Amino acid sequence: MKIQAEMTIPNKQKTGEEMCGVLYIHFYDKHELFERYPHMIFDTTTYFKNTFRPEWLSSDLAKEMVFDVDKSVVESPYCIMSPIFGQIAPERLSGGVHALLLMLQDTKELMVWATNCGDNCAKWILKIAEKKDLHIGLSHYMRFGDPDEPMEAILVNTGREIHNTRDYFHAIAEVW
Amino acid sequence: MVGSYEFKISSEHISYEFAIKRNITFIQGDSGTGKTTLIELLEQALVSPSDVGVAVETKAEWEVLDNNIWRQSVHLTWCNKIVFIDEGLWCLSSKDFARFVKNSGNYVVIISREPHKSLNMLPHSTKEMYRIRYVDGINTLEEIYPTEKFVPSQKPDIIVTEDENAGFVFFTAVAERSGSECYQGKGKPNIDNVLRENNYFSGKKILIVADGAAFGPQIKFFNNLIELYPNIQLWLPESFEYLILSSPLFDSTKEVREILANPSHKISTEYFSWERFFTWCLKQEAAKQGTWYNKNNLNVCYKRDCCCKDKQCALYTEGDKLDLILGAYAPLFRADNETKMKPESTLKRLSF
Repeated sequence: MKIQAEMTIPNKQKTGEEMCGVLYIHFYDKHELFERYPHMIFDTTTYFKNTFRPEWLSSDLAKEMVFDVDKSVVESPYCIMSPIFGQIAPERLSGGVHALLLMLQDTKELMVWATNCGDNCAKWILKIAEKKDLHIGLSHYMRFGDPDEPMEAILVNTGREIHNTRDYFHAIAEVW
Repeated sequence: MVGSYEFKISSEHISYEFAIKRNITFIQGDSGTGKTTLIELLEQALVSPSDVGVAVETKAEWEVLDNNIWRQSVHLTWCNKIVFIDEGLWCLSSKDFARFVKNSGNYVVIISREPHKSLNMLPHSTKEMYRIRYVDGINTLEEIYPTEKFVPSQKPDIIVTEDENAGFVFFTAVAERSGSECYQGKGKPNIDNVLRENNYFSGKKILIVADGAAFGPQIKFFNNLIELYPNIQLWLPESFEYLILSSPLFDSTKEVREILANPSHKISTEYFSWERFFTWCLKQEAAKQGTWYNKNNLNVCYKRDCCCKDKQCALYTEGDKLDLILGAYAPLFRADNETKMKPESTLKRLSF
């Protein structure tokens, strides 16, 4: 599946450093996203359940995300300690964590609907995008941080570059 | 359907306690807070109420609407029920779903972050948007946008109203009196247009006035707006008509007092928003008092001091009409050199 962008998306590259990733936000309602990107993953929990691989929970970043969002500790890929349910399998994690773990995978054509994620996932989306280009579909106003907090993204709808949460607000306001 | 319904849901590991008060409720908030678990417990209890280890205590009849039920149209037989809906339901954006919510006579509780376009046709209240909060071992619903956060606290230089009819006329009179300006937003999406066209009125104090009973789809966006622009405030009374009904103009009316004291017990799903109900209520009560209210054409009695001091009139009051309707916030809308509003104890009303 090719990710189709409406406009030429600039490659961001820091001088003298390795190419870092960019967060590309495709801001449309769910049905429009489905029409534009038919293979976007909307039901992240079911997709996660059917495609899960144990190595998805082996990285420090993955374990940090699970702990921060679900308050659960990854003891092994198939055993996670939840403060509510005790030992749980990975599919019992929240939809937001499932979405984050899918975003983390090095699958260039995988595009995830980030409206499955609460605001507490936003900083992890930005962290994942620091490492690789990340395209997400978004159908609601996700809060990426406090006013004027730095963030780097591109709103694909207009090609507008975003450097902080104020830019993000105005970029979304244009297309909402 | 009318009224407020308490729920207690529990399993060995987790408990929920909350009340559903209006026809449309949203549960949103962070990931990992138990939203999906709530739906799962309700689904399990529906399948087998007594032997799945889930207890549900409520006086309401309730259902869970999923994609299979929707496809089979089973939901079309539901009436006077509380319908719980998880965000996986594909039809949430459809006109059929909007029609179901509007016409079925059910309450709906929707777990979704998306401000669905279809639900813009079914305006929902900012007060009925909740996150799940864990307190003392029980998951409860906490308002994401509490009313007390969205009230005026500083004198505005500019007022922007969502309303383009009676509310705009009223606040134009308020602005003229205090030397401010008033703009009409002509609906929620255009409020932001007005602000952007004027560069967010940099350096001036702005007050946006909108009907809280219908502002739900927009609130998250505007909540972030006021975080970025501290010169902008948001005031979300239930509706302009609610402001009038809760003013001294109607405080001698027993029916109005009862409605305002406990609206959820008086407002049925016949009105798909409390804004519509308060408009109807004000029209009815004004007619009973021998006067009138029209949303498209504001009766001067609601903005000018009384002209009928020598005659019997149900809306006769002493005191500035604008102040009476603005209530506790009236001092914020006076010109700097004006005297303060008279205390309510000096207000006189003719009794009939």
